[in-house]
Amino acid sequence: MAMRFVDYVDGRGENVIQAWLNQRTIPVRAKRQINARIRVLAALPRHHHVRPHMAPLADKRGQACEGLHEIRVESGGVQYRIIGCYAAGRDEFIMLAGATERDRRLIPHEVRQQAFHRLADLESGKGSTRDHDDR
Amino acid sequence: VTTTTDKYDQIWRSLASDGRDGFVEAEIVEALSAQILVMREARGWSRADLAQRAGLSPATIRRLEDPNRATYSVDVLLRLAAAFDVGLQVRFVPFSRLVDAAADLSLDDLAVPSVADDAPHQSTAPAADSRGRNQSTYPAAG
Repeated sequence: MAMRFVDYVDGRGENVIQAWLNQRTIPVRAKRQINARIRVLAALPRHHHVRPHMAPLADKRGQACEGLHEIRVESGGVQYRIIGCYAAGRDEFIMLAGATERDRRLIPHEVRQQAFHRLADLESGKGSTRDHDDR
Repeated sequence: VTTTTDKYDQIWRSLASDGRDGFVEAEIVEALSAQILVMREARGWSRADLAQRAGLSPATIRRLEDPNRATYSVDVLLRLAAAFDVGLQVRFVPFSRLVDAAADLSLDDLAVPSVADDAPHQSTAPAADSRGRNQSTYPAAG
């Protein structure tokens, strides 16, 4: 594995990425494709983490992170996104929030702020990470 | 740290709880699109280079490298295998074997070397014909 992909776990112990993937609104086929994408990206060196597989999303903010990026998966006509960041100094991508994209706008609209908030919680010790869970 | 065994168990449990819908397709599309990209770049080829060698258009190569858009036919995969000078396995397998491969996926599985760089057989690699296909059965029987 070239890089670890880890899920953000909030202060209550909930794996927010697994919870998002297991929503009833996300079809099983989409979940399969997202999980397969994560396994492939984990096997690839970072210079291959580019479009159409991934894309940078926003400017740098926070100490533990090199800026937000998104994993880009289309399934059944829906654009799914997982927002996260590369951990500074480690071969690790931290997945912070899930979203969909329509007309070039992320839904929920506040998902970037949510990701930065979770990143801040991670830096302050309120949140944690866990290896991505394929279930 | 999650081990390969842990990952195998996670995928297997997911198949048991959610069903197998889409699993085979996702594994094929995601791995093949990454393989084509990685193998092309490892050889220093542009999309146009690969397109020319495989008898396809650069736009088709771009689509085949995009897991969100790609669809594959055996004919296209055979053309790509000949262009890359690599083998190709297309066969039905038990789910357990597919899950095993998914759980243990590594860069070595994706960045497949051409037969000339296939270490165990370097000294016995067969010559290729004008389309890049191996002229003899390989590896040789016996």
